Amino acid sequence: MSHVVSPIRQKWITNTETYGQITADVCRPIESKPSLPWLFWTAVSGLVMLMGFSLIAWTMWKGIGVWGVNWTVGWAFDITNFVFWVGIGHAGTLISAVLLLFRQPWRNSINRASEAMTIFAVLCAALFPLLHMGRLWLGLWFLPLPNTRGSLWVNFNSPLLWDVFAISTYLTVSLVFWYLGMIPDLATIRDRMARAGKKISAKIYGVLAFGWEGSTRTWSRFEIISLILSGLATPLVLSVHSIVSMDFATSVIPGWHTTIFPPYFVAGAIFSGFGMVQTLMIVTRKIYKLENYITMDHMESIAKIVIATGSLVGLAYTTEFFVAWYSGSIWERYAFINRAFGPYWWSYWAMFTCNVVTPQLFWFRKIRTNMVLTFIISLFINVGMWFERFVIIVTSLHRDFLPSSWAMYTPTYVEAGIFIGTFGMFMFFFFLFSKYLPVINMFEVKTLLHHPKKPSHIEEREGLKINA
Amino acid sequence: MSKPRYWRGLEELEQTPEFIARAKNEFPSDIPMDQVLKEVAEEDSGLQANRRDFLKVLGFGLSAAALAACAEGPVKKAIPYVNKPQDIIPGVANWYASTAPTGTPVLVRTREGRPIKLEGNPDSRIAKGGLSAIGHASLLNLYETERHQSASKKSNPLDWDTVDGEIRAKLDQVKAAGSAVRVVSGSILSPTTRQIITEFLAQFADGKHISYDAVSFSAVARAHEIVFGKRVVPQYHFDKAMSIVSFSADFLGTWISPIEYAADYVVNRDPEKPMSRHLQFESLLTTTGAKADLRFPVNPSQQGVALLNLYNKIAAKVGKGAFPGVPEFNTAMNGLDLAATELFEQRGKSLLICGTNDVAAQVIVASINAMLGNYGATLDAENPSYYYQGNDEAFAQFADELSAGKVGAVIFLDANPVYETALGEKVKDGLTKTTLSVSTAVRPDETSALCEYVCPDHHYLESWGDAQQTAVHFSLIQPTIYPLFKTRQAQDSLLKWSGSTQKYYDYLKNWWATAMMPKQTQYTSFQTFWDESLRKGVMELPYTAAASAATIADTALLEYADRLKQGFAAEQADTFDLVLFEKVGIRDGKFANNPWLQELPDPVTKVSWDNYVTIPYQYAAEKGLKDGSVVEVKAGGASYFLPVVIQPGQAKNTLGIALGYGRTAAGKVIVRGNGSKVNGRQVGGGNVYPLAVVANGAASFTVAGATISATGDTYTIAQIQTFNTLYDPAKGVAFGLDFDRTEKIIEETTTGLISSGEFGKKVKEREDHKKHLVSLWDSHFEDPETSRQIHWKMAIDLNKCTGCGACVVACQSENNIPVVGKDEIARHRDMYWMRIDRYYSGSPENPDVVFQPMMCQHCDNAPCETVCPVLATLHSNEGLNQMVYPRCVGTRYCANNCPYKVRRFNWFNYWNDKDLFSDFYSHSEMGRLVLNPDVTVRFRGVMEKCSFCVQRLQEGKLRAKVNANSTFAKPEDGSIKTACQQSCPTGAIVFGDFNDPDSEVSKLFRKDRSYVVIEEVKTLPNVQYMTLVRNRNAEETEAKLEERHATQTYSKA
Repeated sequence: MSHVVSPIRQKWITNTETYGQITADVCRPIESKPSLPWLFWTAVSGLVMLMGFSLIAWTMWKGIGVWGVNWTVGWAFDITNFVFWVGIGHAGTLISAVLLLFRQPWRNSINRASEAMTIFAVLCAALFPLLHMGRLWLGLWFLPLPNTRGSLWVNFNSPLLWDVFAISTYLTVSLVFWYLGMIPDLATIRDRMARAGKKISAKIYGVLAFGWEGSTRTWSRFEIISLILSGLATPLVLSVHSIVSMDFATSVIPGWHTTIFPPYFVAGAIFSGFGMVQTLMIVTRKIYKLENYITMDHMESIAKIVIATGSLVGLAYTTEFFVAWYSGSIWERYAFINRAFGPYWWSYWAMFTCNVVTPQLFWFRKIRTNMVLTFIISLFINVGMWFERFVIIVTSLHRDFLPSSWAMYTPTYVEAGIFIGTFGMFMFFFFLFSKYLPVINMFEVKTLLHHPKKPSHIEEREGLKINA
Repeated sequence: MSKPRYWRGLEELEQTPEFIARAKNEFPSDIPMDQVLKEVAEEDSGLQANRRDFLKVLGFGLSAAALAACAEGPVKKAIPYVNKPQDIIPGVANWYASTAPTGTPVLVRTREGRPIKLEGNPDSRIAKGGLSAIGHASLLNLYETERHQSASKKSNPLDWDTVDGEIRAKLDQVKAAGSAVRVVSGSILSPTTRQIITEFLAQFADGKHISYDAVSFSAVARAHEIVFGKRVVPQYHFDKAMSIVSFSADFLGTWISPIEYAADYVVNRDPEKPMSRHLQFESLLTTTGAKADLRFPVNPSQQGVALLNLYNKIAAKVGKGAFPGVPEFNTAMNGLDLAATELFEQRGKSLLICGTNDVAAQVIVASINAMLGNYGATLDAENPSYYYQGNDEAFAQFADELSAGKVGAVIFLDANPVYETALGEKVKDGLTKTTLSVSTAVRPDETSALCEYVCPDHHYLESWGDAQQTAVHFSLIQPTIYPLFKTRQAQDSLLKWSGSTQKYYDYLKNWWATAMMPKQTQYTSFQTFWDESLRKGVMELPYTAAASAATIADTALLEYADRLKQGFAAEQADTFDLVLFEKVGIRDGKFANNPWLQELPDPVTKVSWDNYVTIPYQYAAEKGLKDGSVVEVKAGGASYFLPVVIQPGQAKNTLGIALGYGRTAAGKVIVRGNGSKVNGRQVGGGNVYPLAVVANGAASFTVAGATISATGDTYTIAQIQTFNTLYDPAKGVAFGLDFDRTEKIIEETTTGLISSGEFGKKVKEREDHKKHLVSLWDSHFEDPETSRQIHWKMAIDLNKCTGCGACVVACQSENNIPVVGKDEIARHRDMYWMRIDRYYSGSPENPDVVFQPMMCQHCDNAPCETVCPVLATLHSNEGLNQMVYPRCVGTRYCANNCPYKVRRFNWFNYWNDKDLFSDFYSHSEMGRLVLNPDVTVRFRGVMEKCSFCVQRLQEGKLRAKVNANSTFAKPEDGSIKTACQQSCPTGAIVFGDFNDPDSEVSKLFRKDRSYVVIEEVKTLPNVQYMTLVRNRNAEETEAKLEERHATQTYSKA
């Protein structure tokens, strides 16, 4: 893969000279014995996941009544968590697909992990639309399957049905894209395992690698399919969250019924996704000592995207308010005033502070290069984006048209536990992934090593010296 | 056997002896089972199983299991109609006329021999088809497993013969000793029962029937005795009254015969005809006060003087002498002057009533009515009402006798004085001193728990009987189901104990043959008369001449006037007048164990399941009390810890606590309504009957000198509606934006605005505005094909709705709506398909109140329908928004997207979850007999909502087709009624086919008053509301508006 890299750009990987070193670095966690901290955290997240699943079982056994929802606020944690997790997934797709199309080579170090993040997040997300159903065991009816019940069909008018298609497409494409991208690396691991005499591991990775042989023809096809898949995945970045936003936008409820939602949701999704990428990458590069591959430059680029999307989200918030006032509709006006100053004011301001104010700190280079601060800010973004969905869903529902049906919503331990449980599940999967699969896309990172030497006069001027 | 021509095998051809033997044996025995089993046993030890053996054993095991499964199933309790009973067609309801314990004549709907629904009897002038919440709920008590199931002595079940023998022996003993025998009962409407009691008591030297009422109106009767010389409660004719002034009488909710009065009241409330004028002076805010044209909060202790002032003002107009020395008193807007003028101007067509059980006040009220010539017109003392025959003084005497040990035998005829009177302790005490104490209570209560013998009566739906509501209204009670338990009708018990061998049924028939038969001329044969009366259920006699002349001397009147002056206090500082009131659902507490009634929210406070103390708005604001703050109320030497409910419109220095709570021996359900522990203290519940002591000849339901102190605790009140006002001044003003959504939900006007043309202008504006409500889509109903069909629509007249909640319980009964309990209500998860929204407007000191029944609006552009992913909710071509329960997967999106929030989700398995709801009828086989077989019981995870009683529509359409013998026949207008419509005593709900231009509903839809709730959402609902019209002139309208603006400014500051 030859591409022109401006000589004045900094290198995307540092302190690394050879392909072998890259392979060794990336494969180290896979080949070494599981470390104690890894075992500990995997166990912890596994337990949290189990806790979540037992609460899910309880919900299924008893009924949705074990949650705090009521007939005014029919959705709360369930759909909030759903939108939250779907949103997180978006950064992965953006990084792997959109940035590939735009030839942003820096994505090479982080795309694998962020795609994994996408898949795990979408898995977490997919749980909730299932769980929120009163009769989960009839979930099959969401699918337009031919049946013997006369002309009974699904309702193609319903945004919830669009969701089913959007999410399942998204999960499929992401999974295929992620897995396909991993095949050359899996083959590398297979070969290393075989060389190290670990027969079983070699066999397993061999099966996983689909017999990759690395011929030029294979590579060529691989590159083509990657491009095609990224082409397919790119519209998904926009469509999935647009469709999710239509769950709300097509309704008549003030605060939901707005045309701004699709772009607003997509911006929010990318924002939250990059927030989550930051959180994960900071931890991963630290734990697996991959600072040479996920460099400060990577982290800075992510922070810049966060500033951009955070500002977009802020713009959306203000626009909503303006339009509510400008519409002249008392329902709209009240919905927004109630958001900011009603009984759930704290959630609105939590959202506003976390999503609009905190990312602006990334304008300062010192802050965005300080990994501790970045980590904290990224957590704020995660929290803020969760609250955004909570605000949209709960504050719009709890006081809609007729004051007689206004009510408050308070979560119970069950729904809170299920939410925490999905974090356990997410982390559990991520830990397994980081141990058994290559966290960094080795073959793509290797392409970054292969850039031309900078002309010596520039090096001299900048005082740069290529590490030898 | 010869050789066969065709043979199947060589054996057959050869006819070997083995073959012949085998052919004779139908079941050959040479299947080597023993061997197989032996082999299996050997293989078990030797592990030599081969495939064949495995299959053999498997096959054997399978068939054995299948056989075992076939052998013994559970015994099915259903008995198929092999021989069809003569009058029962499975799937088709039978109707029988009867009379509810409230005295309302009813029709009982039975299916396959079990009563499943009650409806007011439309042939009765009293019911006019309406039935109260309590009346509906009395059905549920039939299937109660907690009922007394057999006769018992000290809680040990006994057979009836033994019990009869023992009671007879004891009665003889008492008779011999010559000591007193008392039959204690509530008001008995049945003339035959009264006669049986008299006959029973005649055997004894000292036998007396003591009649009392838990909530007593004995002062009304006593006052009429004083003024007219007749101890009667008159009949009130609100339909003849053009001016109604009520002092604390909640005649639309709880006073004497509210269903009858509500129906009569609305006759003159049609704004297209001359409207009656209704002024209400009251201390608590009642449903009646909510409907009044003008309402004046008056403290109970000021009421007497207010009445005297009113007397003087009217006396001046009539030209009679005034009471001297009456302190000057008037309300805001000079309410008493208004009342005096209006009562006088409409004299002969006016009506003054008073809800206070105080003889002096009632004497003055009766005198004023007499002075105005209202007797014989709006009141009728010659044809009195028999609902309340109790005599508080006589009962007090009885209690004294009892506790003095002077009573030898006492029989409580379904009466519970231990709980529901102030003298309960005395009665409790005295019961130990009797030789014989018997209770005929249908279900356990505090008194039957203390009686030696319990001889349970049938539930009324298992009984024969009759009732006489007034001098001219009679009705019958007939059994609609075979007695479920080993109970016996109380009348039969009394007859038996009188030594009579007659059955009550024969007695009843005889009585009707001798007493009622001669009163009619239509039928000549008694059998026809009896059959027709049973079929109709009611019999009404012509009124006799009606005017009564006051016989009271002016000097005597002065005495009562003086008595009224005594309690007067201009302003109290720290003490309160405590008013003991009846809730529409719980009333006197007799039916407090009924979960339908416990869950039914109070029309005004919207609280279900709990007792509480209502406090005035100003006091709450001063003391920083909130809904649910726990306070200690001390009154009459007792102390109650109760949560607070802030009641706008309640008079200053007044507290209100409901009667009917704090029952101790009445069942599982009531325990849930009796509050719970907060910080180790029992909060809620509380029996306030001990405070209703007899003073000046009548039990007084107001207690002076109550105090209230905050405890700092908080208690969760289960409130169905938590947000009370339409206008949210604090929020609106803070941001300089107007969020007043009033006019989009409630339309309200006054006669003043109608006559000044303001209302017409507004209607025109609304119509003009409609032109701007454009849609991209064609209406589904402009299609000529659909316009030939039925288009169901419903009109609800806010002017007629009194908020009484009868429709809510009717709907619950018709549509198998589960009871969910207090915790679920507190979580805002009630399951009501229809609710009655209550909104306040104006100043919190004296707000206007609007009741708005709200159910599925069956929108033609239904937001719920488009969002359901599985098409579980769809639109019918008759305009119904239908819910397909089996298809619903429970995403709740439809409920979220419903602008009216009328969809209800089954959060739990309300019918089967034994952990959560086991105390309710839904968890006993017996209790579930009440279910309507035409309506599915919904499983958890399924959405449900109002269906416009689609089962009734279907039934009605089929009936029309069968009757007309044509598949194209449409049901006649008015022949199909939804459950809520049917039950509404005021006829506020009208339902019918909109495509029929002559139907009642289309006529109503064309009126100016008709409007749509939140029209601009363009959901095109099939339910429209009729604007509320208060009879206020322009100045009064202005004054009320100013009050409202003053409040807004107040809130700004």
